[in-house]
Amino acid sequence: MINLFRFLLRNSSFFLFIVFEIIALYLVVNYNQSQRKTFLDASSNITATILEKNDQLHDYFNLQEINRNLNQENAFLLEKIISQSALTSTADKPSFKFYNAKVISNQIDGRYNRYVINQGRGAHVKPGMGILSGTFPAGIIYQATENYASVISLLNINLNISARIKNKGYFGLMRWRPPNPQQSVLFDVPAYADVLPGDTVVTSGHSHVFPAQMPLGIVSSVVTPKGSNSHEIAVNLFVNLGRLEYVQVIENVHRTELDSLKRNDER
Amino acid sequence: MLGGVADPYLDILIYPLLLFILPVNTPAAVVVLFGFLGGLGVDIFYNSPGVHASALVLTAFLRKLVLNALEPRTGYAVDESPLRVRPSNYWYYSYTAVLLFIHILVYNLVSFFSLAHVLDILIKTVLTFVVSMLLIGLHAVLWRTIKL
Repeated sequence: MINLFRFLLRNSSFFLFIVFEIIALYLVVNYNQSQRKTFLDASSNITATILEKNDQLHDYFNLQEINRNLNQENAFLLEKIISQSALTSTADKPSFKFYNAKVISNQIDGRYNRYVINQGRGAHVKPGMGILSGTFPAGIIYQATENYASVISLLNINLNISARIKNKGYFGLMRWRPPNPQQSVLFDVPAYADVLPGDTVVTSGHSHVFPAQMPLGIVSSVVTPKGSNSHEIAVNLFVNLGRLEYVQVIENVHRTELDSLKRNDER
Repeated sequence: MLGGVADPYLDILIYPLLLFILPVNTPAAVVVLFGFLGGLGVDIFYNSPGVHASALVLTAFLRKLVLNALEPRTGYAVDESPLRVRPSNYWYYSYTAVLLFIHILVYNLVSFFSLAHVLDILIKTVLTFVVSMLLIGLHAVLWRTIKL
């Protein structure tokens, strides 16, 4: 303590200088118009920069929350769009419901690819419902447990999607051809159909899993095998299954009704 | 005119003389205190709170360092006035010139308070220094001839 006092006393002029200089500069920036303005400009610049950085950091840590919110919003908007436009296959009634989900494991390198989402029966997710990534179909639910569901990926050679050439009306079945995860093949389009590379392929809505007119991909090449009377159309998929993360589960509320009608037909 | 913020090209600042002519062995803390009070006094008359005071406090603090740097080989006598350190005025001129230049530079920096005007600050500092230094030199000459 005594040493501290000695130290202060020995350097008294320096400490006095510091104290008086601070007082004087305080007076300068508080009681002189132009200096005050400069000081406030500079200090608010600095604080604004700090606040902005802080905000960016905050945003970064909140990304997950933001993603979840956006996903919910997307589901809500999709429901609105699809129920209001003529996209619905059962022309009059709005018949699709959406649930959010996140992909928790994914696979694209096999021939029978599946992935798992974090919603199950507890969230009304049932086998047979479709999966959308944005507005692009990405799979169909195969099994559902209480909290999870297993999805047959679009990249599974057992999955056939009923598809249609947009604006031309021809329809067929779309099935993946390994190993390219960006390309599927549309079968059963009649050979007389004037399909050209660049045409858009959309869902037909015939399967009652997806609404009609959901975009699937773009025609990249059209081949007609010898002796066949239908095209084999290579389709570049819109959906990127290798980067699938947030998805919507789509439910056709009239599905059971429609299916029972079909069963009655077959009888 | 002794100084002020209104004049755009040149101020005449001779009040640092208050600190320059204090006896050589005045305690440094007392010099700093005088610098603060004197600067505040000037500020009251020019309605520029703190501008002169901040410059003069720094000048007061640096006085000890300049005196140490310029100390003659024989040292200072007790209670010696800086005006009397040498028989001629040249020592006194160099001692006051260093401190006065620093004072005027700091005063202009605080007065403009922005490095965007660095050219204005330098021009004004040099002009102010030349005129103020002439007057401070004149004071020394008068003091030596008529023994004020």
